Amino acid sequence: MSIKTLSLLTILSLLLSAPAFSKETPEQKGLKIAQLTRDKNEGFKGETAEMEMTLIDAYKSKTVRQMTSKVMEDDKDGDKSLMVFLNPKDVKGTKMLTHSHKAEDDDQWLFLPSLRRVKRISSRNKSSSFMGSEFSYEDLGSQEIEKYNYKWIKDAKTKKGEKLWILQRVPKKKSGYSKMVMYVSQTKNNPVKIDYYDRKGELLKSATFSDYKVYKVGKKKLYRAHKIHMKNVQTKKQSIFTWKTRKLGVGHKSRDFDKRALK
Amino acid sequence: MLKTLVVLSLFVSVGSYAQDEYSGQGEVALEFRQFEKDQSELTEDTNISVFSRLEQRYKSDPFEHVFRGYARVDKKDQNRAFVALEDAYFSSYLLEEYKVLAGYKLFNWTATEAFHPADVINSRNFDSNLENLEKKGELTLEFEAPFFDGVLQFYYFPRFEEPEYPGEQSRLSSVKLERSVVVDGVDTTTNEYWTNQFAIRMTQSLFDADISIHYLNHIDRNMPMVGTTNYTTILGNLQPLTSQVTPYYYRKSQIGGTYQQVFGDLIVKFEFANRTFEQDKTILTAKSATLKAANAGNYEAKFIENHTEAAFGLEYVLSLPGGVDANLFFEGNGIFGVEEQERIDRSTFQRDIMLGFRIAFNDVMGTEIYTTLITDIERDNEYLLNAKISRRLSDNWKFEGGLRVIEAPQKGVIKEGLEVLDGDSYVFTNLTRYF
Repeated sequence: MSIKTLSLLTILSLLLSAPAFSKETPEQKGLKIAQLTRDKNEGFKGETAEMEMTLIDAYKSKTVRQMTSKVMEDDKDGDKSLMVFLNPKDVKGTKMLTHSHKAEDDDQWLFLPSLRRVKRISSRNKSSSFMGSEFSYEDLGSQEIEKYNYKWIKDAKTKKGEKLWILQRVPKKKSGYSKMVMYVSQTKNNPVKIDYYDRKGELLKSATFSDYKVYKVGKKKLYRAHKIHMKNVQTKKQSIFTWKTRKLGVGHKSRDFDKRALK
Repeated sequence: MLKTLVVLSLFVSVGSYAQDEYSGQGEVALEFRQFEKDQSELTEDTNISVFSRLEQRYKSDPFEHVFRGYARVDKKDQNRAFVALEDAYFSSYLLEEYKVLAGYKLFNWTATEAFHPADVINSRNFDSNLENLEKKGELTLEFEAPFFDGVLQFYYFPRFEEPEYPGEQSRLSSVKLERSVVVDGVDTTTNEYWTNQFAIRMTQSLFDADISIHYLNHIDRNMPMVGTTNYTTILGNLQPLTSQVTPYYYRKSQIGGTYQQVFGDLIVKFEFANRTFEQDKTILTAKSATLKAANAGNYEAKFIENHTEAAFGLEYVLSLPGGVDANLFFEGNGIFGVEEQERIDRSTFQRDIMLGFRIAFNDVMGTEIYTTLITDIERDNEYLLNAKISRRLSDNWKFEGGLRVIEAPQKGVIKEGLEVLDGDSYVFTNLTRYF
C-alpha cells in the first residue's frame, strides 16, 4: 500500500468519523464523563474514616457531630457501608448498614443500641436531614451513576485555572431534588462544587468540596475531598463535613458488612 | 458456670491487645411519674427514681467483650430498686465465619413495634413500658454459622431468669407475688432455676425481605399461671390452703418467626409463635369473670393451653418538607386456637390493634414526637394511649415527657386484662445525662 493511498484512507476516515463526534449529544457526553470519573475513583478496595460534622445555624451558633465509617467496594453491585454514630451521646452506638445497588433501591438497616434491635428501614426517603444537618441521606449515600440521567453543559475553568466539566444530573427515582449541577475537576475526577435544586426547581443548597488529598492504592491514584461545606441558600444554615482520619485500600471482611456486624 | 465463664474470658483475652477498639458509654436519668389519684393508702401515686445504665465494649478481632447493665432506685417505692445485667459476654469468630459466644445476652427477635410474639427469650421487668418492657440478660452459650444468605444459630440456656414484678406499693401491681416457681417435667414444680433450655434460629435476607424462623424449648417468661398448688376440695368447690400467690412458669416449645419487607415507602412486618406448654400440672387460680358468673366457686385448677400468637404490621415512611421524617404505624395482633377467656387470661394484648405515628424533626436538638393508641377489638372500651415528646438539651442532656392514658373499666366480677390497670394513667418526665 502506497503512502498516497494511506494518506487518502486517513483523510477519508477522519472525514467519516467527524460527524460521529459532532453527533455525540450532551446527554451521551455527560454520561461518558460520569463513567470516566467512576472508573477513576474505583479500586479503593475498602475505606475507614473518622468524621466530624459542624452544624452552623443562621445565627452562626455551632454544634458538632461525630461518626465513623467503613466502606467495602463491590465490583458487581453497589458498595457496602457501615456508619457508627458517636456524638451526640444519646445516639452513640447507633449504626446504619447500607448495601447499595446500582439500579434498585438500597438495602438499609438501623441498629438501635438501647433496644438491641436491628430494624430494616426504607431507603426510599433520602431527602431527610442527616443528623439535623444541611446534608440529606441522599447527599451522603451511594452515587451510583445508574441512578441518574446526565447531561454535559459546558467545559469551564476555576479562577485558579483548573479545568472543569459542568454536568447536570437528574435523579431517575424519587429524590429530594429536581436536579443537581456538578462542577467536576478534570484532574481530580471529582466534584469541586455541586448545586442542589429543590423539587420546585429553585436553588436549595450548594456544596463546596475542598482539602483534596491523594491516596495510592496499588497503581491507582485516588483523590478524596476531606472537607464538604454545604450552604443552604434558603435557610442560611450551613454544615461542614470533615474527615479527621481516612484510610483507603483497607481489606475489610465481608462479615463486617452483614447484619451480624450491627449487634 | 459463672466462674468458668470468667476464666474462659480471661483466657481468650490473653494476646488480644493488637488492633483493639475500646468504647464505653452510659446514662443517668432522673425519672418522675405521677399517677392519677387512687383511694388506696398502700400505693404510691408518685415515683421519683434514678435510672443508670453502663456499657463497656472491648473488641480485638476476632474477640469481643461486652458488659452492659442498668439499675433503678426509687425514692418513694423501695420495691422498684432493681439491678439487671443485660449483656456480659465474650464472643469470638472461629475460622473467620463461625462465631461462639458465652455469657449473659440481651436478645431482640421482634419485627413489630408494639406486639412481640416471637421475642420471648429474655425475662422482663413488668414495672416498665407495657409495649417495650425492659429486659434482663439471659445466660447463653451460642454458636453461629453462615447459612446461605444468612446465619444459623444454636443456643443453650442453662438458667431460668426470674421476671421482675411491681411491688405492693406500685400502682401497676394488683397482688403481692411470691418467688416464681418453675413447672418442669411430669407433674413437677421446682424452685430450682438451673435447667436445660435450647433454641435454633435461622435468619435469611431474601431480596428486600428479612426472614427468621426459630424453634425454642425453654421455661416461658411471659405467661405465668398465677395461683397456688396448695389447695383442697371443700363441698365440691376448690379452695386454696394458703393466702400466698405464686407465679408458675411452664416449660414450653415454640416455633416462631419474623418477616420484614420493604415495598418502596412501605414496610410490611409479621411475626408469629406457636406455643406448646407442658400440661401435666394444674394450678389453682382465681376463676375468670365469665366462669365465676356462671358457677358458684371462686377458683379453678387449670394449666396453660397451647396456642398461636401472631402480629402483623405496616409502617409507612414519609419525608416532609424541611427534612422532617414521619412514620405511620398500623399493627394488629391476636391469640388463636383457644377460647376467648383463655386469650384474655394469657395476655393483655390478646386481640388488639395499634395506630401510631412518629415525627422526627431532624433538627439540631433531635426533637421527636411519638404517639400510639392501642385498642382491644374483642373487649369493649379498652384503650391504651401513649404520647411522648423528646428533645435534646445539649450534646449530653436529653428531656423526655409524656403521658400514658389507660381506659379499661371493669366489666365483670373480677378485673381482667387491661382492666387491672384501669385508673392507673400517668404523666412522666425523664431528664437524662448521657456520657
